Amino acid sequence: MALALVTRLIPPREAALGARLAAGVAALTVLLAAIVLVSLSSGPLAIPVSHVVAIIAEPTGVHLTDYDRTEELVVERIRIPRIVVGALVGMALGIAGATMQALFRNPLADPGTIGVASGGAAAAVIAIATGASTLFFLALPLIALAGAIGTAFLVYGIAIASGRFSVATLILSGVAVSAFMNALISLVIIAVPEQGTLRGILFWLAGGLGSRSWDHVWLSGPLILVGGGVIIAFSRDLNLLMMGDDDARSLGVNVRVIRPMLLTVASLITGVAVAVSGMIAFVGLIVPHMLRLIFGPDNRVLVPLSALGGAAFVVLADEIARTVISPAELRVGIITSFIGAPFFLFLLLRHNRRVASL
Amino acid sequence: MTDTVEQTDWRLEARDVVYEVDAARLLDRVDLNVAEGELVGLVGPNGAGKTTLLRTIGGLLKTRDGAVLLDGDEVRRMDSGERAKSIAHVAQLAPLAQGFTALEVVMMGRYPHMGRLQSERAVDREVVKRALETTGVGSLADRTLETLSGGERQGVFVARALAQEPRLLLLDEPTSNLDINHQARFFNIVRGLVDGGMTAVAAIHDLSLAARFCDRMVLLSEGVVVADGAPGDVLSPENIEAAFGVRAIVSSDPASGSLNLSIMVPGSPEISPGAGTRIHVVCGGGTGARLMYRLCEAGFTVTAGPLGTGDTDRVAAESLGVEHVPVQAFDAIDDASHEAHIKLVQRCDVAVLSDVAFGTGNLRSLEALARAQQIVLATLRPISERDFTGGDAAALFERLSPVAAWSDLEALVTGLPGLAQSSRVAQP
Repeated sequence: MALALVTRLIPPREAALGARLAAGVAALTVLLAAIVLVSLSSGPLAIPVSHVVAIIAEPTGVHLTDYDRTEELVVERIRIPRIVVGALVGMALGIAGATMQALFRNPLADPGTIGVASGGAAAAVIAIATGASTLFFLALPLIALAGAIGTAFLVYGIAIASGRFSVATLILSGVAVSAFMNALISLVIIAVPEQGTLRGILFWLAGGLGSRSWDHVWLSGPLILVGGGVIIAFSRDLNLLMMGDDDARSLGVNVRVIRPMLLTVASLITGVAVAVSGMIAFVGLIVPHMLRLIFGPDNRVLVPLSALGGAAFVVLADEIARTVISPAELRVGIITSFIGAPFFLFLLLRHNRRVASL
Repeated sequence: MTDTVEQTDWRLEARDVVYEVDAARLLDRVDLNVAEGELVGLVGPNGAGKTTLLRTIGGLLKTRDGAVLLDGDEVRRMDSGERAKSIAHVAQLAPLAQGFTALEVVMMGRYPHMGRLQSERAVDREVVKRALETTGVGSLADRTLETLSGGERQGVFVARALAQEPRLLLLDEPTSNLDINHQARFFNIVRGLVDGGMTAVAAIHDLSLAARFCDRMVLLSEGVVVADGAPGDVLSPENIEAAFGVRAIVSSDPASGSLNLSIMVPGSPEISPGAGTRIHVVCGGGTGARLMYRLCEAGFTVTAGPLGTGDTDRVAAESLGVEHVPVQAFDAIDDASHEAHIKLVQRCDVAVLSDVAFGTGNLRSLEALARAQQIVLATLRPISERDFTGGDAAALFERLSPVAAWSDLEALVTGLPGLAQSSRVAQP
C-alpha cells in the first residue's frame, strides 16, 4: 500500500547513485519534517501547526501569524531541544547500525554488538547508584560516554590481543563483555536499597528523551554530525569490506587502518547517543534493514538514509511515548521496541515471500 | 635475449619470494617473471602454493623474504588505491554479499577510479557495461548475487576485475565452477584480453586447459617452482611425476595440436602389479602402442626396441616416456642401434614380442630378441603372414624359445610379474 507506493516512486536499482540518493533523501526529509511538525504541536499543551511554523519562522524575520508567548517558550525551550536530541540520537544509531552490519558482514549486528551500549549503561547505572551522576551538570551523560568508549576499546583490544584480527573474535568478545556489563547492571539494581534511585536506574535503562535541553544538543550534536560525516565519506569502503578482506584490499581499501577507524567512530557516536538518551533499542537494527529492503545494500545510499530514517523513527517513537498515555509519559525505548519489532517482522516476512516467488 | 628487451618487456617480477605461516613454508624462494601481454598459467597439485603466490603478487600477503615488483615498484609498498588500478584479483571463492546486484558489484571495480564522494560518471557506466558484456553476464546485471549460480557469480567477479581496467589480471581457479564448454569460452575471453595487451596470471587446475591457452606455464609443488616454460616443455611426464606423484602420458592431439594428458593411477600392488619389473617390447607399426600403454599403466618399467621416425609406436613410446632405440624409418638397423637394442634386451626381466611385421629393415630386432632370458609372445597373427623377408624372419622366429604366449592383453599383464620373479630366481 503506502510502502508499495513509496517503492514505486524510488528510482530503480540500476539508476545512478546520485539519483537514488537524492530521491531517498527527499522522501525521508519530507517524512522527518512532517513528524517534527506534528511533534512540535502535540503534547500536554496543544499548539496549532500554523503557530509552530510561525514560531520557527519568526527568527528569520518573517511574521506569519500571532501566537502565545507560552507557546513560544514551550516550542523553543522544551520541544525543539528534545526533538533535536531525539533526531541526533536516531541519526547516530541508524548510521552506527548500518556501519556495524557492513563491518561484521552480519545483518543482525547493531550498535550493541560490540558492547558499547551495555558499557555506557553500566557506567551510567553505577553513577546513578553511587550518586556520582549528581556531582555536576551533565555528569551522567559524560560518565555514560566514558563507559561506552572505554568498553569499545576494551573489546577491540581483546579482539586484536591474539595478534590476528578476525570479525568473529570481535563479535565474540563483544558478546562476552556485554554479558559482563549486563550482569554488573543487574547486580547494581539488586544491591540498590532505595526505591527512588532504583526508579532512576530503570528509567535510564528504558531510554528516554524527557527534559533534554540545548545543553544536551551541544554535547551530542557536534560529535554525532562529525562522526556521521566521516562514516558517510567512507561508506564505499564499507561496501568493499562486505566483500571480504582480500577483495577490499585489492580494490584499494587499507583494511588495517580503515576498519578500526570506522569501528571507533561508530562506537563513539553510539556512546554519545547512549549518553544523552539511555538505551534506545532496535533503532540501529531495524532502520538500516528497512531501508535496505527498499534501496538495496549499497552503503553509499544506505548510510546517509539511515541517518535520516533513524532520526524520523526516534522522533516518531518519542512523539508516541509522549502522547499515548498523556499526561503521563512512556519511555521512548519501550516504544521503539514495541512498534519496531512487529514492523520489522512484517517487512521480513513480506520480503521473504517476494524473494521466494521470484 | 638481450638486456634491452628484458628491461622494456618485464612487467611483473617476483624475486626469491618466501612466505611462511606458523613456520610452514608455503612459498620457498619462488622466482617468477611475467612479460607484458603474457598469459601465464600456474599449475600444480593442491597445496602447491598457487593461491598463495597469486595473493603475494596481488600485494595481499606480507612476504617473509624477497619481493614482488610491478614495473619496478614493490607491490606491498604501493598506495592501495594505485595498486587497485594496476592489479585486479579474482579470488577462487566468489564472496556472497547478499543483496548486491551484479551491476553494483561490477561498479565496485570503478571505485579506485572514482573520488571518495563521487557518483559514477558516464565513463564508469560505459566501462562496467563493457565488462559485463565481455564476460557474458550482461543479462544478469539486475539480478542479486544470491540468485546467481556459482559460474555466473564467477563471471560477475571477473567483470568487476575488468572494470578496474588493470594491467595485470590475477585469476585463481577462474573456471572451477564452470562446465567444459564455459571453461573453454572463459579462457577464450581471457586469451582475447591478453592478445589485446593485458597481462594475466591464472592458477589453473586443469593441465590440458592450461596448456591450450597459456603462453607459459609455471609448475609449482610444495611452494617450489618445479618447471617454468612453454606448456609442451613443462608438461613432461618427469615434471608431472615430480609435482603430482603420478605417472602421466602426454600426447599431442593431431587434430587440435593441443596437449592431452592421461593420468595413470599411482600406487598399490593391486592396481600396479608391474612395479619393479622390467619388460622389453619388440614392436613397430602401431602393434605395440596399446601394449606399452597398458604395461606402463600397470606400473612396469617398459623399454622398446628399434622404432623408426614417424612410427605410431615411436610416438607412443615417446609420450609414455618409454626408453627405446630410435632409428631412421626404412633404413636397416645399423650396428650401433643393434648393440643398444641388445643391451636393453639383456637388462629386461621378460621380453615381449608384438604382432610386428618383419622386413629386411628390422630383421635384426629378432636377432637381438633371441638374447632375452625369457620371451613371451603377444601375437595373434602367424609369423608367415608377417614375414616379408622371404623366410629369414620365420627361421629366426622358429628358433626362439618362448615361455608363454598370451594374445589377451590383461592375461599378459597379470602373468608377467610371475614370470619375471622366476627369471630373477634363476639368475645367480
